[in-house]
Amino acid sequence: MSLDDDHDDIHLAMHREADELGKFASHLAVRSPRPLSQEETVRFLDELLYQVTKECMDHGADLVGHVKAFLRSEDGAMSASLIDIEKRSNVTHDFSHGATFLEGDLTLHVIVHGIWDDVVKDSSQAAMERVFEQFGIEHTVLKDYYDTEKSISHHMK
Amino acid sequence: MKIAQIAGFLGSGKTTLLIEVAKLLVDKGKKVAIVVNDVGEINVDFKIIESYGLKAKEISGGCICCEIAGNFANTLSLLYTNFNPDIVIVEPSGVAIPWGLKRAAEYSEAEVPVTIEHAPVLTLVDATRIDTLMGTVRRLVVTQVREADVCLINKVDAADDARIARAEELVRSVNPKCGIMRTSTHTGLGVGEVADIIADRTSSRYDEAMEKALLEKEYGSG
Repeated sequence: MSLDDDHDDIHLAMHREADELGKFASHLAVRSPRPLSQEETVRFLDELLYQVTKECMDHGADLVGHVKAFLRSEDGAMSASLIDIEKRSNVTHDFSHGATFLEGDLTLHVIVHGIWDDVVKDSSQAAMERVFEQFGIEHTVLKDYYDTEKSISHHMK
Repeated sequence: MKIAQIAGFLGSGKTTLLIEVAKLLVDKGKKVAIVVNDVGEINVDFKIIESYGLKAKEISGGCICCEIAGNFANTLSLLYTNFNPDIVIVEPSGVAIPWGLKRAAEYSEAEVPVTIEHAPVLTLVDATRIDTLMGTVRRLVVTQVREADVCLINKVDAADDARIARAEELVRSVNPKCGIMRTSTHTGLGVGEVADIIADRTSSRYDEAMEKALLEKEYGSG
């Protein structure tokens, strides 16, 4: 067996394992009819990630790969990451003191272990709708990446 | 041009560490570029890194050590031509194999007059989740540890001693020659040392014979 064959075998095994991770990503335009304070915006992102993760866990996920969001607006950027549902999210931002959020661009990326992509998608979207409604956020999906989260396909030629 | 890989499973703290290390290296006067790879077509980490004002390139839609290795070589060639960084820090996808990435990086030598050297391969192991990870994604974690020059037992500020010890034991059992360091970007533990490792130390270039021997030792001759 050649080295390339060995490499392919191991790499294929890794891709198979990675394919056991369910994935979903979405890119949205979001808008709040009223200005959200910096603290409210942090709470919004934290709640979004928590609810998305919880919905996935409730539907069979047994491990969080990562659940991340990045929000960019005229007043700055905010990123949030959740690795462990018991510990909520880590949120960082460069919003200046007193800055408010009105509209921006939100990217959400969800990777969990134990459920397939379609369940991750449905769970994420259900949780997103709930949290958007809770915070009064209007949104438009610019693109979702459900069909493009591929990893093993190139080994299947 | 030196290539520094920071590998590790999802959520192990790669992006956070990478940003802190890159800032330190820039403060030391190094020209630093960052390449972020994800097998999906969207990359939140890239957006986060870019928001810190760091020079970053995103390679999405495949794994840079295999199906889009050529894209990685092209990206390195462009970085060399347009920015000429001292160090390129690479955050590979969770399924990249470190020596495959070394090989892919060296492809760029055929495109531009650059000599690639490699910093030690760093693999992060999340001490807080070691038991869960070994129960669900063992193969991914073990392969990344097997290929590391130095394993960083990360988030030690949030992990108890028993978990840290299990993470270190995993590394010793899988890769006895690997260096082991404890790190926490939350407290800053080890971050300066990681920057020094990247700046001052090197790892071997891609060597097919050596890799073959390693594979046979680990998995048998097939």
